[in-house]
Amino acid sequence: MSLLLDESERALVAATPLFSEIDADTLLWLLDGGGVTTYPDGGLLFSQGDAADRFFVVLAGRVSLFALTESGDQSIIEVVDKGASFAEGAIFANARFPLNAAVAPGTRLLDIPAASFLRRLSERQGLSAKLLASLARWQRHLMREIVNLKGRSPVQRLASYLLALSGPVADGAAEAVLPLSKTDLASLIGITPESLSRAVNRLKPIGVTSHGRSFRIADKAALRRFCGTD
Amino acid sequence: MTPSQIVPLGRDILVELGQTPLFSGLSEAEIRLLLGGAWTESHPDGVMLFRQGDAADGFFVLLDGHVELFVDDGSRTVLDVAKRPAILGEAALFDDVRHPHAARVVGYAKLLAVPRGPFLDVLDQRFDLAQRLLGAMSIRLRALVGQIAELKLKSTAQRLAGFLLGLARKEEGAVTVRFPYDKRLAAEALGMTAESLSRALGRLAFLGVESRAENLVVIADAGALRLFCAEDGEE
Repeated sequence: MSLLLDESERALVAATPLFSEIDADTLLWLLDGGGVTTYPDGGLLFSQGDAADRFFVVLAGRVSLFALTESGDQSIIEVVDKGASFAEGAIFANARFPLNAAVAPGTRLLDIPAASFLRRLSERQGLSAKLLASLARWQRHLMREIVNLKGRSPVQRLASYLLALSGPVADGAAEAVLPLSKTDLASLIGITPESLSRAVNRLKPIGVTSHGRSFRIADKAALRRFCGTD
Repeated sequence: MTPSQIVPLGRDILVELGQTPLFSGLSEAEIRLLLGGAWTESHPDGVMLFRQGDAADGFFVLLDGHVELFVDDGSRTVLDVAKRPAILGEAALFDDVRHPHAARVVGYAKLLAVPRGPFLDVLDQRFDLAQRLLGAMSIRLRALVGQIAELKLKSTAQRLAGFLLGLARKEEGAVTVRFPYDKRLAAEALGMTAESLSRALGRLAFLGVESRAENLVVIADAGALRLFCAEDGEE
């Protein structure tokens, strides 16, 4: 693998949640036997029910994991982006791939054969415990993200919506013009029209002012911090 | 890590552990084997489970309540407020390390305390068990990743639904709207990529929203769409 991955790709692999607690040398040894493939045209990587004899890390591009519905349509279960691993659950379970995987054109994947990976994992004492520690940390991270997504207040949802409307400029001042009435905006963020003006007032100390459908944001970075999406 | 009172793990605890990501793939007998040295403990508000820099001699599985994890850097930086079934003090799964952060009970917490020595011994002797722990954990975390994608998609779908309602001239019933500009620009205006806009449109299909040619979108029931917009993150 040392021949196949450049420095930035190696850093990318080391940063995947699964390997976050494994030191660089051990990781190189553990992944020895892995190969890198680029898929210029994309296509099907594996099908549901195929023997899970390898798992993958996305080095560039993206992979869709999908099930097929009865009518033959693809139902996308997960989109795996650069820097994430997939199918490791299936190899630990000595199982078959539970889903189909399709790669987008230009995707580059590191594939790690299950047999050598599991053999090496079993050979070095304490290594599986480290992988477990990586997963424990990842679990906390994911749980926190879910709480953040579920637990945001209506005022935070209003702030997120205004941020989204204000366009791609990252920081500083911005304008946002509502493409919908305030009644619809209230409905969108899940509050009554009466409490919308309260929510708008709550954003004043964070530098948001409004005239009719037009909002002015004094400092997008401050608003983003308020949303908890920073 | 020392037990204040050792209570052998009862069946109720084993059943509870079987529902946590870490142990979900194991039988009760296997959990007993791994947790030979473990016990449960409950603490009131404010109790420090471990301090930053303490030797990590065991880890915890949070069974109930909340624990705050923080870095003590002069001002206290809160990393997380963990809830069940989080694993705390995972540094103990390494050789001879110290806790990189502190953990303090918030309100109340019931925990499974697992001393590192016996647990690591079993892992080293029984790779089959280690592999199954890893497999169960990976698969359950995948489900969390899916839940996050769904929550994110839902909030994009809600933003899109609000945008469509803004274009509709009717409060209830069927209505057809036209994107004022092409979908790529609409996506930009909504702060999403064109791809997530199509996914969000797909997500709205179950509410009777259908995308047609020439930037038209048919809404079967504007009232239902309005209700969807007002839903909270939880389903």
